[in-house]
Amino acid sequence: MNREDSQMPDNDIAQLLSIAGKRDEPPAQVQARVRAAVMASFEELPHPETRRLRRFIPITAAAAALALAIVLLERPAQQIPSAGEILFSSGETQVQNTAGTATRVRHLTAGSSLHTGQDGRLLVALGSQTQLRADAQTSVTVESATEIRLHQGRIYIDSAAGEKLSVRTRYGTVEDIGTQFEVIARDDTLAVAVREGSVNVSVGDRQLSSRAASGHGERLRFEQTRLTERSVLSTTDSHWQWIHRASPGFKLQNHSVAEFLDWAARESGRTLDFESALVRQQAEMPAALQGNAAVGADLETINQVLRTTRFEQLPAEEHQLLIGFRSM
Amino acid sequence: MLHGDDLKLAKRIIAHDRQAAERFFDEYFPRLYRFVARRIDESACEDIVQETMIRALKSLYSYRGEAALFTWLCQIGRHEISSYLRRHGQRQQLQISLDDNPQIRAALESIDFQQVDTEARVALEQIVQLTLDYLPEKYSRLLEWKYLEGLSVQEIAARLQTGTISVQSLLARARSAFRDCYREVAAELEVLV
Repeated sequence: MNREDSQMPDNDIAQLLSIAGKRDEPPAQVQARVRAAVMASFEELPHPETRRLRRFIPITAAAAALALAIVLLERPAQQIPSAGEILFSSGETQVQNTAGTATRVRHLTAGSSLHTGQDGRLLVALGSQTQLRADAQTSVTVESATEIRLHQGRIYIDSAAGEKLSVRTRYGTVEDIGTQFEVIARDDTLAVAVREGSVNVSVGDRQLSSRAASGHGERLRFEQTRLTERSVLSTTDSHWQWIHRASPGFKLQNHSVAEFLDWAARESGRTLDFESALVRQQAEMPAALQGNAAVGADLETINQVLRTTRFEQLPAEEHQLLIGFRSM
Repeated sequence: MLHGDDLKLAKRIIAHDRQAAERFFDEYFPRLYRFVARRIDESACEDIVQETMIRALKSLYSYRGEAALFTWLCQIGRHEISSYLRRHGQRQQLQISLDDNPQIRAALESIDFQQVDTEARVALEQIVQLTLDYLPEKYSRLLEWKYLEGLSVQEIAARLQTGTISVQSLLARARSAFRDCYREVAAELEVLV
């Protein structure tokens, strides 16, 4: 036992802690509200690139020229049709447009290339109801609002029914009509994971259809053109966690409970069900949620938000989000 | 002493890393809430803690790691409490003035826990909980598991998905940090009121 131990030995620490007992936890509702406000405030913080630009612009002519270039890049292309819009970015990201390269570009044109660094992530709107998320260390070219070329890395597509999209990679093409799926292209590997709906995969001369149903998705893996794995992947598997890092979350302010739940269910790979028509009707009451908040789609957050309402999550299967009135 | 881990976390948040921001919230919100709740009516805590955390996020670029991030947050929290009291036309007096109480002073100076009376015991509860809040959360959690929940080293190792030697080493560091921090908190009491 060293000198300090002799001053406050192990059993005295135990005794001290037993006198004090467990620390009080803040009320969950307060925690949910403050979290939402703090994270919303975080999202509004200027990105580091913006801060750097602000610092340099008054100093050098070169910086002024760069700022001008970025202004031009950020301006919606009036002559060139828009192919997409960046909704969210974090970490190191870069966009190459027809007008040049910049780190803070919002509007994409046909042929825009997106690159993410080691900690970079992007969320891009394509068409009216399709979103693409790019994970870290990914390179993608947006050929058009319906055609993507994935050079390297991992993307996730969430497209609404009626919006067809194809993803081309070195070894094959993935086509969907209204679904959620992921494509990974790394060196000699192509992997496709379907979370909702179905996709057609063309690799070499081979054509495969892959679909998800009742909480069970599917994962296909090819080494060059050879199929090496075909397995079930739960729609709520931790495999999908990365997509939350490429999303700003859901802003609660002035949304109905049903709108939030619909988003959360889609984000978390669950189906949304209401216990009765009355529950659904009440959940659809407009602007029920307040707070300038952006929240996540994990079950803990969903329940925290629901605790501020008259609804609660009822016991159901893992892939279901079943909502009823809170029991008194 | 430079608080390298805290500085790294701050830099990640400044770089707009959402995970880091979430970790910042999860790790510091409960501790900051308790810090504020010890000083002011609980009905005001939510606003003050929220304002403190948002102000901290916006000021993180000025954090240099010279103090622990929690200590730095508490400074902002104190300022927010004072502002709140001013706005509400109240005298700036904290609810807890621990070191005004001679029994507590006595308790701090002589850790003879069997002998302390109820009042001093309540104060000790607060001091120990304060100490736990000032420790890195991984140490506090470890000490609570070991000494409050009575988990064995093997059970903690399973919970942390690590080896027993690593847990023993962490526990030794946590105990040492507790001892040091306990003394710091006792000294801090002079500043708090």
